[in-house]
Amino acid sequence: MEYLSTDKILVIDLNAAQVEEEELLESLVEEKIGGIGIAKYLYEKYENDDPIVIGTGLLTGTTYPASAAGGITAKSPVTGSVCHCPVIYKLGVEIKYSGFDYIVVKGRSDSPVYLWIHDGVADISDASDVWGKDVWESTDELRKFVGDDLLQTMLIGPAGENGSDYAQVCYNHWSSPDRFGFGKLFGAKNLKGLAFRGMGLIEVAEPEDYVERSLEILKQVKENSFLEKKGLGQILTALGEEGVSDWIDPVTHRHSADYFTPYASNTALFLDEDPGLLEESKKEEPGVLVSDIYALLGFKNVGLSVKDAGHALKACAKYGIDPFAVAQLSGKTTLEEIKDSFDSINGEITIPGSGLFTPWCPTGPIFNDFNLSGKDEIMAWWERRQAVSMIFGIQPMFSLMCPELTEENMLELASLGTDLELTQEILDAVIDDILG
Amino acid sequence: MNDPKIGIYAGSGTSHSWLWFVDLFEKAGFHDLVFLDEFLVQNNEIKDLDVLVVSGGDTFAVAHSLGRQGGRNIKSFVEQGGVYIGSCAGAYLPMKSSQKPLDQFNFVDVKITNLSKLFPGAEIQTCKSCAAYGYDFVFHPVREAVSLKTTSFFDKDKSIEFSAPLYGGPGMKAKDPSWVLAVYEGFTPKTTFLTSLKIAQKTLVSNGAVIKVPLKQGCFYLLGPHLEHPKFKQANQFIIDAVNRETGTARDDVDSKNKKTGFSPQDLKDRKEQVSGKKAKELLLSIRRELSNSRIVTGSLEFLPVQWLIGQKVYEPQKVRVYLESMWKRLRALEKNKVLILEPGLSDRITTAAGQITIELRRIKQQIDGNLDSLKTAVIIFDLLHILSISFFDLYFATMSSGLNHSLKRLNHKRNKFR
Repeated sequence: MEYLSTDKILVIDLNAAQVEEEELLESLVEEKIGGIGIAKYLYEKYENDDPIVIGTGLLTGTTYPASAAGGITAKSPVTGSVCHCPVIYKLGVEIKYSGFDYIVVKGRSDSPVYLWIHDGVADISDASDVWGKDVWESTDELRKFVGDDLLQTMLIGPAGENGSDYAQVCYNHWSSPDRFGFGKLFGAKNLKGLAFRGMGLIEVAEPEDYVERSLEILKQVKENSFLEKKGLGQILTALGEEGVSDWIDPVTHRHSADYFTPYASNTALFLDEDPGLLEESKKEEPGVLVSDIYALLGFKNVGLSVKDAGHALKACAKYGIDPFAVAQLSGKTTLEEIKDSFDSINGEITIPGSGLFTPWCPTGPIFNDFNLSGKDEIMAWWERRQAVSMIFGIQPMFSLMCPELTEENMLELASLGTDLELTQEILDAVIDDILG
Repeated sequence: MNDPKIGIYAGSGTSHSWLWFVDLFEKAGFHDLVFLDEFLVQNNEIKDLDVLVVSGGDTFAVAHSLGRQGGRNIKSFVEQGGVYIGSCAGAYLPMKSSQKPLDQFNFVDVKITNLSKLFPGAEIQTCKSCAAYGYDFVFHPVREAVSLKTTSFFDKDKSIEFSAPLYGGPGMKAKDPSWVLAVYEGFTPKTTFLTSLKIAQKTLVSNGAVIKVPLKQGCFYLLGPHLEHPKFKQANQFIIDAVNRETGTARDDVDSKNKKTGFSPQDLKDRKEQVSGKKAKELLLSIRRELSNSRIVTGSLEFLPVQWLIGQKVYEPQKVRVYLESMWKRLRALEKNKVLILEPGLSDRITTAAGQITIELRRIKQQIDGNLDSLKTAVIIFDLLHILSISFFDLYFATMSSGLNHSLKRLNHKRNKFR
């Protein structure tokens, strides 16, 4: 596969400590397009080896608006079935630029390891120095060892190592959309996680047309009035949670967006530093970056102050546990009690619809109504929208905001970028396959 | 006609600019390239070359490394018909000097115009504006692109203007004016002035920028500016034309006399071993792994405000990057070959040096982050980069020109396009 692709699928056998590469065939892209379309195919191909498939969308890392996402596909300890968790921030892009479109991790290592993926090289590395450490310490240590502060990581903390059902795979220092307990799968494989860095290039079949059309779509996207807003407080306000924005304002330091995503949906809270600070903080841990609107809301609803809620989110990110599950299931109402509850989180959280996609994303449109009505119609739309986002690599929260990102123009760009004829019929078939 | 056999000095004292010559010659289709350190020059491994290139760096350090024996061998090489191309530091090297160790290289009667008893006040970049030269100072009035013009001794019918970047190279006055092929014509919008315009004009304008000094059957080409810089195509062509012109004549004369060794794939096959299959794949993966690791740290170092003064030259992390990129950009072409051609022991030398560079770069990042002195580590890194890049290019050019992988055809095609 020559275009919009690194042309490579990485297959890592942790049992044998072996790394193999497969070519990403054009015929597979013609049939499954990409992202979770292909990740599901790879999961089924290696199903007997209990695989975790990490992948990128066909448009990930390009000039198509919000083409930020990758995905993790695996069997969830929470639901017992195969689920898809988006990879956000700058990490999805880094996966593709590190030289592989898809990474299949199968088997179990005898001892703790991490995977160092860089410029088309995959190294299975000893993780004994970071095993037992929390997500923040591990991220910092790997960055220091590799000598690069921009190293992108996908790691577990003590929750994953200890086998908690709600152990999360964290991205860099931060919590992720993982509501599926994928951290437990990593821990069971003795896999501390993956570190990515790449300086690769992606070829585009029709580069000028691709960029021109991307920019036209971006221009349409920017006509949305909601782009005057920023941060997760405004998202919650749009969803009817009026008080959250005012509640977090006193500790809000900044908002940040995922790669090439026009809406800044992540909010950094400063907990031990002046939120008005305009220079880089000299404090080691000034605060926490929050992308999980429902976890934040959950801690508010149990009665925590905004600072304590921020500290709880930070503690969850360090421990590598799903903060939403902690807020919902711990039954605790003070910060210290919540921190002490991580190893005893039990019970069930609701995964909506067919259970394939994470309720980290609101289960309906945000800021726009997309002309939808009725619970069933909205849920069907939401599941399809999630599938489409994760096939093409679009930031899944932003795709719920923006009607201008259509299946039609995603297909158009995918065809321009690959020189393949990717049609609505093919996309419908891929979605049917994913949604069952 | 065989390609000229070109030796590029990449030993101690050189900076990264010899890599520009590699790019230049490869683009021109000259793939019979030999990479030399000071020991090979001292062992007179240059005697069978058509062209010897000494590029930029620290002139004193180059002279010190080559020593008296290296100097003798260079002189003998030129006297017997060889072409010496010296750029920047390589241009200073053979000029008359009483300074030790430069006094072992008194081959051409050319004076430096940017020499002063007093240090002219630098307006910016003080560290790059001047270097001690005995009791005097070699000063650098400008940096970046300057304008050059050929003289009637280059072509009596027409004068050509072109530009090339000056990074500390000399202005020159030749004993015989007919040696001057191009002079400094003036400055360009991209010229950075380290002294006043008046001093810059007085020092450079109308003085020699490119000089050819004959010595018995051979000659010295001295280039003040870096005509080999990849962004200056017209200047690049000047060098290629000179090589074609000089070696065409020289080989006709000397091939018959000295029977110089012309390149042939058969020779390579005889001298070097072929590596294929799993062994070749592992070697290339190992190179890719360590070059990638090194590039990643270097990318991070480039954000840091750090420089190292090694000898008389200032080095920044960006220069590490130039070495790494010169290999990285050729790696994919090398990976397409099923058979690698290399000397015995070269594989180990490459993998050891590449792995060590990663370790040292990670070490220096931690030293800088911890506000510790990093100069010693920087010296080690640049030494290792020289070793690695010389070894890598030995592997690369031997493999690409072996004729075993159809690479030669591609290179020849590139050469024809260039011409």
